Amino acid sequence: MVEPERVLHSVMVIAFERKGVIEPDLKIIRAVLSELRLNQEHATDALDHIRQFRGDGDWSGKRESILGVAISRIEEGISEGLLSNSGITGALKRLIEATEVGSDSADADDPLAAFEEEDEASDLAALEFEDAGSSRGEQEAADTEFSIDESSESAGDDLEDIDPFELLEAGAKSESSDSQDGGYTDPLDALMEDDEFEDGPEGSFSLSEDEPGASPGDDEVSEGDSKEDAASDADSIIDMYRMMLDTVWVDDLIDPSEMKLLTRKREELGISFETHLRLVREMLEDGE
Amino acid sequence: MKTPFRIALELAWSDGSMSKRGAMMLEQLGDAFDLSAQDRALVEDEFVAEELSDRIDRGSGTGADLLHLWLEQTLSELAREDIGAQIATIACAAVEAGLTKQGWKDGIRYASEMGLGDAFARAVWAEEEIHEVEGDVPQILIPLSEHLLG
Repeated sequence: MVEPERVLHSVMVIAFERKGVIEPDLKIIRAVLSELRLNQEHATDALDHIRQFRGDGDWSGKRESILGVAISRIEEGISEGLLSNSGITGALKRLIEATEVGSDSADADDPLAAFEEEDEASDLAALEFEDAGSSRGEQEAADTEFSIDESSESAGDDLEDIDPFELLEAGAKSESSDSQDGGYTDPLDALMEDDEFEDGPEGSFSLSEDEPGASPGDDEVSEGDSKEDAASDADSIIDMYRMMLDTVWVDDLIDPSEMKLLTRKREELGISFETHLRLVREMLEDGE
Repeated sequence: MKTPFRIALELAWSDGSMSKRGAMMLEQLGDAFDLSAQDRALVEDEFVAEELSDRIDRGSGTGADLLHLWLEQTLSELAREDIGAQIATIACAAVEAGLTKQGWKDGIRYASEMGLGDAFARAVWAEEEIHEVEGDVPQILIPLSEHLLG
């Protein structure tokens, strides 16, 4: 069973990536914190980890894997009933959906664009989504309105700078405008467009020399450079897997679902069990 | 967490002194575990630092009798066909309960000392399907089980 701390951590990861920056006070995070019956210390722990590894948002080029783990955890948290409030689960599902769809979705098709904050600041405890009324097919039928009770929230909280789904609006705006004015760029764009191993931003890697996303200069790459690239790719795979290890053990506990996830990743990435054990050992030694 | 060799050391020194017979049994255990000199030195150094450095009492090495009983049972259990499955079962249960980093470190050290590290690791990391076994936990695995499962 996935631990509540990990679900919170995962929600923060997804929300920050969707937002493009780290904003601990996002209302969705506070709502999940309350729903999971966790305290601020848990949030701080997760935040520390995210700040440590997120960097400027590319997670050292392993963003896709990180997001994959986070999404899996959130979905598991929902399926196991850790998150039962229909409003929260609906919002998270849409957030996941938007994250998975990424830049492939046009603005009009972005299910998250359907969310608007109806009551801006009257009560932090009440989050409401309202269907924007646009035609979005089946996605608009459900989850169009809900509320979340957060009786523990104090009335004195700073409400103005907490827009629960500002992140969603930002994402929607970017998709409609980034090609025009070069403004906000959805930080998930590169991730969502590319396969796990495709060339991408600095720090990413490729397992195939025939990747369509290869850079213009690839034609000039010498054989020696190719070997270096291959070695670099292998290092990147190892680095990515190591980061996954760090991530799944962020709360000092590892559970069966995470074991299975790591096993699957080892198979996908071609990482031997011996290498895995070495990485575990190194990670633990680094932590000492 | 005390490893099997550490437990044996404490038994051998239980009255304040270790007899030659006790020392010979430790050698026997080290051989049975195929314990490297380096790993053995690590355990012994820890034991000396934690147990013997401030000790002033002196015994007659009667711990050898306790060690003898423990050693016989241990070697018998290590010869069981299902010992790998037994430790894998504990490992799986530990993961189900939520395995901490320290739990992993302690568990793999304990298991590795007996030559069962691979069985433990593969069970923990779901590297292969584990057929859990039922029945009494072998005596030598009880400290591990209690440490990881409470």
